[in-house]
Amino acid sequence: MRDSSRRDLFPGALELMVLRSLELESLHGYALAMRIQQRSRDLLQVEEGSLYPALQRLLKGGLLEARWEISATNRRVRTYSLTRKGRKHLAHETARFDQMIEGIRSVLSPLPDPDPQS
Amino acid sequence: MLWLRRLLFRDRLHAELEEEIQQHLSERTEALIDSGLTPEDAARKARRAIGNITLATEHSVEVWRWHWLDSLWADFRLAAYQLIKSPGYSLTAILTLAIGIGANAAIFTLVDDAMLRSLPVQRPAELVKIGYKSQATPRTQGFMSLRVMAYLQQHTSSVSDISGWSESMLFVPDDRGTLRSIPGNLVTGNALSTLGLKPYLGRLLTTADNVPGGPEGGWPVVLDYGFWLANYHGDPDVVGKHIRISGQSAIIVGVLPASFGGIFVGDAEKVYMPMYFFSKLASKPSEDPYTNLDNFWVLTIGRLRPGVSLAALNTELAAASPAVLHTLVPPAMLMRPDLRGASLASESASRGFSAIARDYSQTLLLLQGIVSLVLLLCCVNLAGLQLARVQARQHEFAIRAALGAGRFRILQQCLVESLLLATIGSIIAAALAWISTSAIAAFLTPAGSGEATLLRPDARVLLFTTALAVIAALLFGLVPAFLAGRTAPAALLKAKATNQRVNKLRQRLFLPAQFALALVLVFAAGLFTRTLVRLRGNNSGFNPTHVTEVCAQFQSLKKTPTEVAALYRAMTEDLRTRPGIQSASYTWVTPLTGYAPKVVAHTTAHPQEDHSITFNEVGDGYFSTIGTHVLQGREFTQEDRDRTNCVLNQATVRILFPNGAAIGDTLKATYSGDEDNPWVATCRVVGLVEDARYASLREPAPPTVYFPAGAEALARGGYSNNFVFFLRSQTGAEASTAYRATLALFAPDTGYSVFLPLSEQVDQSLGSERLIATLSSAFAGVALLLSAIGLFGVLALRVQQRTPEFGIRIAVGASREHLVGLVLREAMIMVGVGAVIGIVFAMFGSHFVQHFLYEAPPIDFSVVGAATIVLLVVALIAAMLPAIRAAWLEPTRALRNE
Repeated sequence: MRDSSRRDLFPGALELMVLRSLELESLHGYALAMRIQQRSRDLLQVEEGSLYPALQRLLKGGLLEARWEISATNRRVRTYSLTRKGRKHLAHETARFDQMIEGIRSVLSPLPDPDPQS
Repeated sequence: MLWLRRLLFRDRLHAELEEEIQQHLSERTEALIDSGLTPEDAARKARRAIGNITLATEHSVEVWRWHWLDSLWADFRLAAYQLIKSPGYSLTAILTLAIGIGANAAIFTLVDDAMLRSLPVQRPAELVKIGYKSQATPRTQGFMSLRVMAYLQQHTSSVSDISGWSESMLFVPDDRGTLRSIPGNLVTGNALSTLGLKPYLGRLLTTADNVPGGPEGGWPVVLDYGFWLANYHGDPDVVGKHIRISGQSAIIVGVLPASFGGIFVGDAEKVYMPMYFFSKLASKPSEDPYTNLDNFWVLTIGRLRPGVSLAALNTELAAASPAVLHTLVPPAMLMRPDLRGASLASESASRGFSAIARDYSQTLLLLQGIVSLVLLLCCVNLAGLQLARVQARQHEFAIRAALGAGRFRILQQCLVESLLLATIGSIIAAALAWISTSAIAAFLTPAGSGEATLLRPDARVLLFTTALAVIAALLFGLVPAFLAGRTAPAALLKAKATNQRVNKLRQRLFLPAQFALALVLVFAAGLFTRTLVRLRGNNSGFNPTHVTEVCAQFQSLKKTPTEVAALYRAMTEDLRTRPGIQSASYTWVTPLTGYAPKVVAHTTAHPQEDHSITFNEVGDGYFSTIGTHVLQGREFTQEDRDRTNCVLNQATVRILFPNGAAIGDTLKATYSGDEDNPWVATCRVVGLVEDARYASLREPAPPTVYFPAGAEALARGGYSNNFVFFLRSQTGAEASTAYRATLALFAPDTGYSVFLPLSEQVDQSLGSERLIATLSSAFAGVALLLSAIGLFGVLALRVQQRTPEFGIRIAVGASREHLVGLVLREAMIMVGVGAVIGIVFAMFGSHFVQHFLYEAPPIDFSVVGAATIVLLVVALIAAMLPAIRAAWLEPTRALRNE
């Protein structure tokens, strides 16, 4: 029930996207959600309700840090940024993710015809 | 205060997350308004995108949770609050559990002590007794001769630390200076140290202590904790003090720890002395084991060497058997029935040697079964109660479910509540078990032995109760909790609809189950009580009330049998003159100890017709003292001193003299039970007495011939060199005062063993039956009470729910009798279903308890009928109150509520 909204994503994919989105700049929650949606060209619908548990998991793991700031629109917002550990984790996990995707793709690719003559 | 910080941190986290998400929401709303939506639509769409805010926050906080401890803590507080809020329910539940768990804990304490617990010594699993096994003795007999033990010590490679143990009565002065007998363990020097015991005070016995004549400086004695406490009141300076034991001066060298009750589990006070002390006690050479090395009398205990199994030891012993037995045991002894075809064998001794284990294992298992049923019934009862509560709290659950509480969360909440109840219940249960165990054990242990007081629940028992509490909580908490989680919140919130499923479950499952269990318990109680009543109703042929027995201990007097026989007569004469003593005599075999020696006898008229007949040897005036009626002729007088006269009971007359008068006739009796001392007696029948049941109340009185107790019996030595005095007086105190005075006059160097009311010995012989009947009746009562409360609860609720319906019925003219009938019918259907199921189970189950019963038919229909009637009457009483309430409803008030 708790994670049913993320059933469409690979486990860990949301966290990975969050880390990638924060690679260049710190963002607050709403901006982060917008960034992911835009960069996936609207292919992936991030359910916002599961964004915050994911952020807390990353915070707990020490991959992110958060601080309260005054935003451009003059609001008090909490912005998230990558820690050193987070960058390492991102690099490592991205490599692993690429490998996995490649593996899945080669399994899914059409099989060569075993006997073209018949 | 880590939990406090975590709680505070959680609150802050909560607040911040809520602010953050709120922020998120407003940004998105603004973005949507900018894209052209109306503020209302924008707000709605934004909210939909983010989902349930509370849930999102909750899940985010959950990430930080240290497992589910926080939610458990919250549930615990809520549960405690709920229980305090409804004290009636809580109290009922806790008491129910306390009874159910407490009964189990108390019985388990006995089972554990008798059958499971190891001796509190080092590595008890390694302890074995080594002895012999034969056709006649399928269990290993642990007693060997000193010669065989010495051989085993030197030649057995699988076992180390072989030690010898034996028991003997010793005399110590009591508080008035009269000697009393206590059990002594006479052991080889290594016996205590190889158990790995650490002395509580002083030291243990050593090999240097066990030398002929005792070590220089006097016989050393080690006290057990109970003896030290009772006689020295815990004096820490007891080591080095002198004590007179059986006329010898001994010096106390140590005290054993309280945890160690000896390998012969049972006696509350005992002492340990070197085995060579036997030589001091023996009144003649044949009684000195060190002179008579061939007698099998020393219990041989050893320790398996590391890595050696009991099977390996048995293989080694079996291989050594023929050589050992034929070189070390006299050929004549090997012809003894129990030794014929014997071979060496061993058995685990890890639990020591307990009389309770030997005699009452089956009784205890039966009782454990009964109390398990009681606990099951308690759980069913509580499950019913919980269901009612779940029903009452449906709206609460529905709201919580609607707010996003998962099913597991509600389940957890219900279980935490059950567990809390069970925990409190089991704490009270442990206290109940603590109090009641010794009372229960008193049924099973010899009167006056004090063994019962040694039994206490220990850590294992507490673990057992805890496990039971958890099981009980799961049993009675899980079903209602599941149902609570399964109710569809929407349906429940919409109307004040009651959960029909819950109601039906209570009526169709829980109440019938309760009554079925209750019927089984009532039935069992009926069977056992009937057995006890039948046994008690048996005419025992004697009247034990106001008779005190005291065993003389004259073996240490070093007098001839004729002198000892004269002493018995003189003491009896003297006792009869003491204040308060109505009559006095003595006997060899005391009633109901299960012991019944036999002679083979025939009459002079029919020398070919031999009959096996029980015999006893009794003093003059014995029959009038014990209350056995003399029907013809006379009983023995002071003049009867040998086996030339005898008295018969009716059963003997029936088989030996079927055609007529026995008085004046003669019979010839041959005793060959003791190969060393066979005898033949030709006696004239001088009296006929009524049948008396000596061996047990279960068996009909056996044919018995009585001989005068005299020098002949005493001369045989061994088993029969002491008689037991019987004193008839109004009070036991009069008897003991009289006996002490007489003893001081005639045999000041000997002691008495405990003064025991004969009625206690009779009770003792029925220990099992009394215990089973008493406890099963008590539990049946509890079962009935619980079932009645359960029925009352359900009916009261039903009547409340049907108030409008009843109102209408009254309004349209239904009679009050009709309404009472309506409620009662409903009750009787539930009880009836339960009763039928219960009868089936009872019939099936009675087969298993058959051998606990006495003269009972395979299926005792009268008891089944009685149990059913009792059940129905109790149910009727419980149902009456709600029924009357239904019938006397004020129709207008009932309808106004609608």
